[in-house]
Amino acid sequence: MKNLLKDLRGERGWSQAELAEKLGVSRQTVNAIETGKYDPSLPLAFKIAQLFEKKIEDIFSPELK
Amino acid sequence: MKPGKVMLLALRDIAIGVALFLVVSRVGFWGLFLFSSGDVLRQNLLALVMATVMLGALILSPLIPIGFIINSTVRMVQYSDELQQRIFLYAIGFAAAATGLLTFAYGLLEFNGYPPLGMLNIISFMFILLFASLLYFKWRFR
Repeated sequence: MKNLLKDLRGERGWSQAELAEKLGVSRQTVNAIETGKYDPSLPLAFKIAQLFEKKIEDIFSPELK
Repeated sequence: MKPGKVMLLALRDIAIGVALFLVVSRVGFWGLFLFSSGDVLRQNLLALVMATVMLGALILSPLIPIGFIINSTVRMVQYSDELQQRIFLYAIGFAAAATGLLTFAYGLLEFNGYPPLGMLNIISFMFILLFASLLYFKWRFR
């Protein structure tokens, strides 16, 4: 699954550590999601979507459009 | 709870476990020395019983720090995030399966004259495999 997490984080000028702190996860988890090595659970995906004020499908997709 | 604090709590538990191990094993040695000196054991049934209890405590004393280590490990996993939990699940699954397979294979070798492998060695082997597989899966999700 692809995602726009890195771009969204970059737009806000947050580091991976800052985003991890806001989401309540480790920096390794943020990095693994950004690089596509790990797909987050639905609760974490909702948390990410709420944080960036977007829908889940706007951030995560099987293939980038 | 923040990962750093969880780690500190886990280290505290391990330190308590090691300290308890040292105290319990010293008390056990001291008790054995005290009650086995001279002819006390032959003359005093109570001393013999107490020495036996001390010996039991000494033999089982490693269980105390192991208990603390298990407790701290469970707490670390409990307060970890979902990726860390998945890494731990993969690692413990791999360690358990690999230990089972390898010790089964060695069991077959034992039937053909290889020296027997003690239970303590098997547990140590499993912990080494768990540590190695934790490092591997952490690296894989880097």
